[in-house]
Amino acid sequence: MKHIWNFLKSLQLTFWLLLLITAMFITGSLYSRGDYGFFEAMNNTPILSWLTKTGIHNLHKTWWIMLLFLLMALLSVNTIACAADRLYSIWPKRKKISRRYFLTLLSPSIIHILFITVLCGHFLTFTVITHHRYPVEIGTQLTLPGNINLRINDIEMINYPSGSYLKDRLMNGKISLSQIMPSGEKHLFVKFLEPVTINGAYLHIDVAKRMTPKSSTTVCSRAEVKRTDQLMPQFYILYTEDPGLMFIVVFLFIMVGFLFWYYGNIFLLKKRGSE
Amino acid sequence: MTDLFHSYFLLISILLYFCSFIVFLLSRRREYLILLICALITHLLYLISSGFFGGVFLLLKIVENPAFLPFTLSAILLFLEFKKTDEQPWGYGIILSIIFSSIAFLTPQTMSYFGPNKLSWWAIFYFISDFSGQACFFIGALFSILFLTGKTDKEINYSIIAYGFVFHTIAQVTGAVWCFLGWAATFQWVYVHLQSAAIWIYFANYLHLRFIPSWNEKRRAIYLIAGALIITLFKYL
Repeated sequence: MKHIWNFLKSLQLTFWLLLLITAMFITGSLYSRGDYGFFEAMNNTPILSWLTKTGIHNLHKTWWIMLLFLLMALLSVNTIACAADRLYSIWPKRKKISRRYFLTLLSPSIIHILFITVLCGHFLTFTVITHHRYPVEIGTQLTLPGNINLRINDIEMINYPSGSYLKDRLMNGKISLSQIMPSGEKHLFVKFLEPVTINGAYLHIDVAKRMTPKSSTTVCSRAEVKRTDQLMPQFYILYTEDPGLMFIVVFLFIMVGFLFWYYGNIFLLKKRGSE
Repeated sequence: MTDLFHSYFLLISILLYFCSFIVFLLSRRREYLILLICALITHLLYLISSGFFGGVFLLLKIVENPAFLPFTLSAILLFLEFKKTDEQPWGYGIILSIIFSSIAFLTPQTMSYFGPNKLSWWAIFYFISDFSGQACFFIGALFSILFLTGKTDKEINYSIIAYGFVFHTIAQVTGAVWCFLGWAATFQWVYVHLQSAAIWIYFANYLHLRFIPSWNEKRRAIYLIAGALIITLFKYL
């Protein structure tokens, strides 16, 4: 048992796992460069259903995803073991050293635990995300999951100022819509980079050229979308339920805070020690 | 024509970087620092002027500009010159500023970053922190080469790579928020995100190496050089 524990908490294991995970991400990036559309279809899709429907039939392109998940799971176990071992060795020192020094020593373990929480948030997103994309026109009605009824009142397009090089390109857009409820109507505005929430779900705005190669694919760069009198782009409403989002964002921010605090303190303490 | 005029600032700053490097090799510290500051000011002028794009001013155009990396590199080098005076011969770092400024000079201008979901403060924070992280990693790699070739007798300070890692982590956070606001996802299965994750994990691994006894200074230096090569392959080739 002790041998297994020593193996799980070893830094050698951490090193090899991190190196292999790096290799998997590099491999994935090469595959994604080679077939952008294929991997882009994975975005905002529950990974398990994608893997069973598409991934399993394309193992020559997707083998690294399964390996990546396996390595991430092993890294999580290794990280938890390392953090637990470190806490076990630091805890008895808490009354012998200053509070600040104790907290500084404790920070790496907290950062590791926060990292695991962020990974769990990503895993939650990958497994249970709900995402839909609806093309919209003025006057149409939409029924979103959870029986949310929306009416599109207006689509406003804002171009870059005339006279600039970018005059035909969209700078922003605004969709004004009404949520139709038994009690009445609620008016909402969705703009680029300013999503709104309805019943815990997010509504984003998206845009594409009218004539895209396949209706299921999005364009990589919205900068290519032009709006002129002859050329009107197609607007979309994106509906997203992402239970992992708060875990990812909140814990990433806390992690950055701890990283700053830890390195600030550790270098200060070292400097004082050397003086 | 206006763009051509802008690029003269960059050309002048490349020449000033080159002069400051020569003066550094001649061990004239004061003149070297003056020339470096002049190069940085000219470089800044280029960046500010590049923000004016055909009638509109876009801050994003400054920070996503390939010339922003050498500017960050030079600014960090100047900071290190005043903060950690005797630690390393920091002037060698100007080689990086010259190389990356020349790449930026030769790179054609692009309009790909001006779509409606890219005009965000989060994008600006992302580019600033991402380039700052890259600059720290490149400085680490260059001084690792100097260490391995005997030009300097000390390994690069761990704190520079640690702060590079913190900057890169900030880029991950700001990038995740920007991506969610623009594309409704914090992570996408596209090569840009996969590459960014690879770099983050790779340098997280570096931070652990000093706790592994078999990883001596030389091996760690080689690891840093390999890291810089990975970033170069991803971002500049």
